[in-house]
Amino acid sequence: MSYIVLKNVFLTYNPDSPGGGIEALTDISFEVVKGSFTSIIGPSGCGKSTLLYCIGNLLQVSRGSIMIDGKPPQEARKNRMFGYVPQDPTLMDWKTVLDNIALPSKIMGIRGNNRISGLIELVGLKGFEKNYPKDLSGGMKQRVSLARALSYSPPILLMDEPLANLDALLRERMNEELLKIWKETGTTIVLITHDISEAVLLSDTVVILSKRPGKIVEIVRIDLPRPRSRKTLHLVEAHDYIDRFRDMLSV
Amino acid sequence: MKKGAFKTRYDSYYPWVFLAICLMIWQLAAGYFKIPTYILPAPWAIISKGIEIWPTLLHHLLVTLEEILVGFVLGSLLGAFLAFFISYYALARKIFLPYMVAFQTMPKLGLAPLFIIWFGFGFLTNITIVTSISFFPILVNFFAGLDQFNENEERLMASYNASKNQIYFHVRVFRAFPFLFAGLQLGIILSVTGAIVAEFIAGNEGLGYLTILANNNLETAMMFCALLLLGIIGFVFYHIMDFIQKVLMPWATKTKTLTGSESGL
Repeated sequence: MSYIVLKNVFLTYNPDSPGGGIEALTDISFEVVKGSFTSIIGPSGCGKSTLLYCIGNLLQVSRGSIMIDGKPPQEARKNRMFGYVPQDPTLMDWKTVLDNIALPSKIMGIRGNNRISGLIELVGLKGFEKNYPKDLSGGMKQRVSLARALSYSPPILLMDEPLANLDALLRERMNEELLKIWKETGTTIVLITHDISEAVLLSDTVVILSKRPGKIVEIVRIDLPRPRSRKTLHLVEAHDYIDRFRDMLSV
Repeated sequence: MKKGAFKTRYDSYYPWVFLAICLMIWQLAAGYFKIPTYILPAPWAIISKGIEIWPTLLHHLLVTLEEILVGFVLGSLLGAFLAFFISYYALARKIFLPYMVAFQTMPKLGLAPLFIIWFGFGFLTNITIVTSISFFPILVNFFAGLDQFNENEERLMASYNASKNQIYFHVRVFRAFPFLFAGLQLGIILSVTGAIVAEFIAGNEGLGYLTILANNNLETAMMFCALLLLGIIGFVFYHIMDFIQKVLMPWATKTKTLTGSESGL
């Protein structure tokens, strides 16, 4: 059952400029199944983030259409269907960990959100509720950002390389946590990454984009058994996927 | 501790030791070269003069303090309110922004004679001058802070479908806080300057007036007393603002440094 549907999406930045603008996305079409995990990979500057913004209605497409559960993205955003996890954790320096996680609830007028204490525990930040972001490490900030996005139980999680700036070990741990959270919440996740093995480990479907202007090279289903852990990447099949993707991205 | 930093618990004494040495040299030089007291009185002469005329000094000090405080509070409120207004309302921005830029280069003290015509000599004119001089750095700084555009934050707030009001009161006002305080600190220093200059030209009371009076009578020691008090006022106010900032912004990693360029003096 298709939950997110993109049909022939084009995006051009500054289309009115004398040079005709910068084409960022060309003819992107794919579908995301409800409750699935989809990764979008591609070289840097290929328009991955742009594509995510289009899905989340943080940017208007120039041509083509996007439907979220049969509704246009604007309506989906107004219904607060998206949990956006940016690359930079973007915590409010002047709010404590607790207040940062409670920010969306406050804005959306959700009173007495009792999920929040559970979420703080889930992302392993118990005891840090009263700390300000300046006291946190990079990994902790990312976990606050993730908890904040989950706090209002959005049906769709849009993640823009949230783990890109973390060291490899922490990243591995966070990936396993992410799988756990995904399983527990049943959220539909669209993840942007440039890490091929991360995409293989996490995803049901991987969308591979070409260099700018971003075009779909291939859409690949990852048929690896679940539940997965970092050991999954030792499987021969996993290696095959990784090799294949590497070949596709290096052309 | 970092090697070679030589930080000891005596560090805070160094400036005082330096001051003591300077005062000693001054005192000795004044006696040795027989400098006339109306040109440069010795430190001891200044101190004894200060003790002698303390009731007078206190009276004028309180007048000046009142002008600074009333003028500064009015200027801050006005500046902060206008900054918010111009930042929040697109129409207000279109109308007022060019004037803001134009007024920034104008010497605000030049308005003083005009205020004298309008409000006469004394308290009211002095407060108006202090208000007009402290108002500007607060307006400019707070506006610059409110007007910062952090793409990540705006995008995040958009994903929550936050209203403009919510964006301002959850994000932008806080993001602008360090700027506001930089403006307030500049404003308080300029307020002291403003009060003195106001008293120079339009005062019949206050430390600035006292300085001019002492000047006319060649009472140089009295001038030094007044100037010393002014210096202390500025110093104390600056640090009070610093303290308020630390209390109100426990989340800040470091305080903003002052830049004179935004003062618009």
